[in-house]
Amino acid sequence: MRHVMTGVSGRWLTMLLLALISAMASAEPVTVERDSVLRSEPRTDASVAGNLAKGATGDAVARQGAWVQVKSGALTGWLYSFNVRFGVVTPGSGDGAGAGSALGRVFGPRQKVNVTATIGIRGLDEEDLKQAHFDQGQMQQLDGYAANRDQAAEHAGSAGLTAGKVDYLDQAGSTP
Amino acid sequence: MSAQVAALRAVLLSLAACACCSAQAQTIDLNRIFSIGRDAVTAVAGVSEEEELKIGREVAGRMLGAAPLVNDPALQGYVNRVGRWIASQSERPDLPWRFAIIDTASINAFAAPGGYVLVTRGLYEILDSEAQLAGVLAHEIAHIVRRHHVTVMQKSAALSAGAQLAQRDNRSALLNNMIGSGAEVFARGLDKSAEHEADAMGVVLAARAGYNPFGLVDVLQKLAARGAADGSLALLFKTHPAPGDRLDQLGTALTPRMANLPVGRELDIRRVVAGAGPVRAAQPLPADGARGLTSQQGSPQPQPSKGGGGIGVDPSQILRGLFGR
Repeated sequence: MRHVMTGVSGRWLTMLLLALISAMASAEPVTVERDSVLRSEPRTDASVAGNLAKGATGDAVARQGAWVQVKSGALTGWLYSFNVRFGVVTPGSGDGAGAGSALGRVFGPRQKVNVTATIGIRGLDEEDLKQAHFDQGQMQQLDGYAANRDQAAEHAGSAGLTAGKVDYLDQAGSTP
Repeated sequence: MSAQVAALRAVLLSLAACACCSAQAQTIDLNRIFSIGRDAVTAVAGVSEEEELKIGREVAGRMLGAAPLVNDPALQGYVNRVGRWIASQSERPDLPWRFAIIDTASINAFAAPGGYVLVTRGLYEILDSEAQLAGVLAHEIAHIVRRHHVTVMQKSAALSAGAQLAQRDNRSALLNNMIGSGAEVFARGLDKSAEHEADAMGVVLAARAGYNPFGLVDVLQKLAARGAADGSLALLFKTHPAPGDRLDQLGTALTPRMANLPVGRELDIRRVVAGAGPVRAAQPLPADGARGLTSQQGSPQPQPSKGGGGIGVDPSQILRGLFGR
């Protein structure tokens, strides 16, 4: 029995440590981009924990779906992730703006070395596109990879995806 | 219809501008100018679906001439199943949809008319989940559903009114004129409003397919965090509104709907198989445009992966192998 108790408390201690480490690692500086209501939980009907004005700064400490949990001064609460901006990582800037932190990996480059690795790699530029010639062999290959609607539905079924009716968003200036 | 009117207006304005700055302006018959403008717009306005498919196939084939497919058939099949599932939720489910990961370190994705969606390896490798992939594919699917590139090509062809005069009765010359040289349509970019519309539609298409609707938001956050100084984003930043602006617009459209959007699934994303290079034989590529010349001889069949990639590996792949995922 004593042995079991030790096992359980050991597991709790490990979980607590992991939670602490993850909380420490995931603090990421953010700037609030528009006046936002902070919610106590990541739900639109959760109680209001406070308000943050555009330009307010803080640390993002967690995220869930469209929500990010921000700690700003004495306030902590959830707001929509599209209402904040994370620090800009410039290539080769090393540890700048939390490139190596957990949320840096969630929202920004996965690892800072990945950023460095892009330097000197020649990507597609305008000239490449203008000079491009049709490649018949590649197109045949592409045709061979195609999936029909049944194969697509089979993938969705095995991944647990179900189709639903969702209306398009109302958008300023959009045409029907 | 509004696109045609805009194109007509552009033609007339450009012709009028020429008329004003010419010494012979007085001798130009205004009726004739209007007639030329009208003919040019009429000629490019009615692009049928069959023609759209033809244009798209040509442009996509040229794009693959610039950046070949990643040699990972299982990955390509996976991307096609995910993409086709999302396209099945759109207003054009029965187009001959094709999806692919192309072998370039640039971070970008391209939609060609008629159902061709090409995502760069550079972009694919920074994605964390299938929901984020769904967001990217859904944005491109929206461009195709709304025929955004066809509209841009029509406008640009209508502007070269002189060429139109000679091509009024020659449909294939007209389509070639619309396509332009190479795959330059992807270097020109679309109207900002077309990008914002594709973002807003993309979120909804991903949601209809059962994914977490905010995958695209996460990807835009990644792009915003990288910033304009990242060379792998050069083309994307040149042809798209800044990611921060896109998040602003999308946020405005999303906010009133936040209470009733489905939660959806995130799902693990399939990773590129270790050591996969381009489908074409792994030879050093010339730095000039000579790649296109070799492509005319057709591509060899895909080489079976040798695991380590062999000798003469592209240095970028070594970096990827060491540091990438």
